Amino acid sequence: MHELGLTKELVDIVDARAREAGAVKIKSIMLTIGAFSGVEADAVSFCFEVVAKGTLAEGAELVIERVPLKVDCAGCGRTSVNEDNFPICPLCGGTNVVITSGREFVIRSMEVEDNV
Amino acid sequence: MCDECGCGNPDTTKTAGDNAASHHEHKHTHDHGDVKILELGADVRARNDAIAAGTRNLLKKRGITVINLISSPGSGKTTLLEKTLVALKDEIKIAVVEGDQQTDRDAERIRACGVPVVQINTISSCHLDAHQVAHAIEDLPLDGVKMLVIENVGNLVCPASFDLGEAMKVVLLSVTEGDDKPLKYPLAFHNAGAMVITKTDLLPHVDFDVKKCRSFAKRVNPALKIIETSCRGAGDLSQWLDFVRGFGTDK
Repeated sequence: MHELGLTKELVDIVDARAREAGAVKIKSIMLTIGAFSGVEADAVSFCFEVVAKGTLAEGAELVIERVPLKVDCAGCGRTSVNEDNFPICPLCGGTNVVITSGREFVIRSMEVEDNV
Repeated sequence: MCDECGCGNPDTTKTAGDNAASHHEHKHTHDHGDVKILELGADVRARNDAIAAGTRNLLKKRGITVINLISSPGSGKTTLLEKTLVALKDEIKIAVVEGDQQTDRDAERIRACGVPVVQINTISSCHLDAHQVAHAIEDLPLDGVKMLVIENVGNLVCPASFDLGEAMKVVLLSVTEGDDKPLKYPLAFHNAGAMVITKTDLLPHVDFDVKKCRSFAKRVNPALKIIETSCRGAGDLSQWLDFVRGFGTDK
């Protein structure tokens, strides 16, 4: 479960950024997780509660946007989503593809509370 | 100064417990302040990737190319490595980073081949990360070394997602594991530059279809180089040794 280490990194990033901004609490964190990132969103949520304890992110809500695997096919020239999560063109079966999205594990933004 | 492991602490394990230990009571102000949105656009893997890029750069400057061996436990990574080190000892000077949850048994095997080796014990972690490898390299004598082989923790899932600074990930698949692994674990095979099918001497005894396996692997990675090996008895490492020779001198 490599999500434990990654979630610790996530919490380190948001905690540091919130402190830099003079915030006292993180209310919510907006994440993007790609279907072909090797990162399981449920595992991140599971780890987050434990890892966030004692940081500004404790109790914050994780809002996770899941992004499907999208490929540009050199064979047929089309861009499409592979719902089966294989780096293959679902339209023509071509394997000569470039992944254009689906590998993300990104913190987009967060909602923080300032001092009174 | 390293802010992740505290440098000098040999235990590189990162657990939730570390965090819980520093838990403290918040002094909540119950009059809530202003709420604002902070835009981050931060890749969670950025720090790992930055450390990996640093390692890649450092070793490239020294003329050292890096291979990251990944596979499930028991596919024969250490055995393949031992045979390779012995076969190429007069041709390419190779150093090794060994990753396992516990023990230095693999490092001992590699040391017996007469090459520099350092063991990383990840304890609870299921993969090596760039930070662990960067520190491990500090302990390796690299004079004259042309190639560094990192033997990752046996696991076909987690190591696939972490850049360690390698020029290439090489994924091993033994014939006892089943020919459909590339479809079941596509990330590992997609992110690798080469696949080594190991233990081919066992093919008469197992239902492993090499042709099917090659086709499955090419589906998730058409550019994948596929090599077959056997380490038992007389064995057959010719394709593999040629690959390593090319890699050690070209890159």
